[in-house]
Amino acid sequence: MPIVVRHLSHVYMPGTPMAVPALHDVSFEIADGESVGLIGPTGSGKSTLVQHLNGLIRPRPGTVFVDGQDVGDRRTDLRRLRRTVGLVFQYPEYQLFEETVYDDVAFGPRSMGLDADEVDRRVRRAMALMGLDVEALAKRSPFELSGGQRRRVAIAGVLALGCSKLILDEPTAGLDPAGRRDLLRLLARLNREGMTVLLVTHDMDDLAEVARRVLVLSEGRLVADAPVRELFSRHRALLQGHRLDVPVAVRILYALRERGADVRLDRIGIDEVAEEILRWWRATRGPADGRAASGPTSTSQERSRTHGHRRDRPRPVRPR
Amino acid sequence: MPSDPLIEVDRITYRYAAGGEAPAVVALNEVSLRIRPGELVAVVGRNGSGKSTLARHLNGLLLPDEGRVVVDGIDTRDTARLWEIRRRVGMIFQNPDNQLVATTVEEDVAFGPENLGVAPDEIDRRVTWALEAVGMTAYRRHPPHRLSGGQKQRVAIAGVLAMQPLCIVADEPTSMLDPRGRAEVMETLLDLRRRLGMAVVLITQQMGEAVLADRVVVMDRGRIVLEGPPRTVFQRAAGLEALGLDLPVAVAVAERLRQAGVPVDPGVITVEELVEWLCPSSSAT
Repeated sequence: MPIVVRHLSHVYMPGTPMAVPALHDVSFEIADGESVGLIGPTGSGKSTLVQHLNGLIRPRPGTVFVDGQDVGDRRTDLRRLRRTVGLVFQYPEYQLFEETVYDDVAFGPRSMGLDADEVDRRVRRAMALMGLDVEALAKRSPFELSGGQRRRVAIAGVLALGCSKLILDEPTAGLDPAGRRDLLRLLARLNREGMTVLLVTHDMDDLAEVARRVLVLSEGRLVADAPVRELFSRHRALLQGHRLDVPVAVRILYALRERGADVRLDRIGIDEVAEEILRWWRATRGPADGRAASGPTSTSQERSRTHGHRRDRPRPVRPR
Repeated sequence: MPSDPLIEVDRITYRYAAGGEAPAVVALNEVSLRIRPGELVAVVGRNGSGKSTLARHLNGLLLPDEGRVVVDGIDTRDTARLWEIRRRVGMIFQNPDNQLVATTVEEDVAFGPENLGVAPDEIDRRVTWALEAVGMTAYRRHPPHRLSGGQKQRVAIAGVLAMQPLCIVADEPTSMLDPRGRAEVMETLLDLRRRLGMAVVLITQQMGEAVLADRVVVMDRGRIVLEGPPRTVFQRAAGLEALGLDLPVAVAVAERLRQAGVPVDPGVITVEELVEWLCPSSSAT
């Protein structure tokens, strides 16, 4: 069942001279199995928002429903909620503490009082989901692993709680390119297998690789909610107005377009951008292939390319 | 020799204990490097390649087990002269929140020279100059904690500048910043080299930043495995991927275009160059 946020506002230290408004009338829904990016400049309220989604902050005013449970209701079992919504903080590997990888991943399910068989089943599954070889790594100390592996162990520990929704705050920060690529690939796979993923980031390239829909937060307000291709191809000015920009690869298309090249802008990732440039290049100079470059940019024809089994629901972007 | 190096790293080896009975880890293995005045050198490499360990040797935060580091004629093992070394080579770190100490921006920038016993008039002059250099003059009396991440890093850079160093070593200074903050800090570092002729050593995971350097040093397993101007280094696409590095976006796109038969100049490494090659501004269609 979905995550439903309605008219959520939040003020830190309300009623004092130190009061800081952090969220202002934020509303959105995230359906099961969606992969959503939450972006915004530093201080835009991203962390405050996600802390509401697993009950670390009680919504007031406004409501947050997760799987039909009202997070603001005192009777809601927050421990159960936190098993449904896994929250992976920045640099989660700093919280690893057990002597072996296995024990670290098993910590959550054990503290839930599950029997050893169930714990074992969960640890194996969570490690497999994070691309970690159980046989090779279970008995190793987490501190012997690479930075990228340590982070995946920490995420596996959250998955072992049995969550159906995973929120990750800047999951690739500090990873090297190979570690980053591995993790993004695993998150995309996790989502294909049914996990709802909310990726909090200011890295547009990460976003382009994992998310299909993007929420843009700025100064505590939701300023855009759109499919990722639509956001990048049609709302660059809005992003720039909020200290953000399209991914570097997409900037190449914009720059070509400014010089009059008939390239489409709704391409994401290096492969698609290269393919689009190639199409334009051949259309304008290929002697064998004289067809003119195709018409105006539009996202509608692209929908079939973007995982047709999921609903990339187009939504109006709400300017501030 | 074109010009005397500012920092000379001569065959240094550095090991640290792995904990327990495990053998010591060799973090740097006979590394040699020269930093010349006014040069921007980017050091890249996967996690654990030794780049941060190398950076910490450049101002004596770490001392080599073997070999030596000489900064402006001073051997970093000469611990009696450690402060002379630190004054010549300033460091900026990843997290902007851990580097600012005072209640206003100007006090923060004055902190270093005050500790050196610089006269108040001179401190004031240096603070004014340093804030001007990083474009933060308007924030002189602001509390640092209200600044954005990029602004905080620029104040941290001003704090180092106030010591009037010959070189700034920046260890992934943009990794915790949003895109605008990243651009601000990079622009500031480039400007220091351009306008003040300051040497900058930039440790980074962002290949888009490394392409802006005069020289790129690629590290792997404690050694320097590749070194040269960005244009030369980033032409070795296959080799870089094997070293766990990303290609700069423009290089990756150009590589795919070449594979499809578009003869993109191998010297193209930035977005601007790629766009110019594909669609020259003089004959835009």
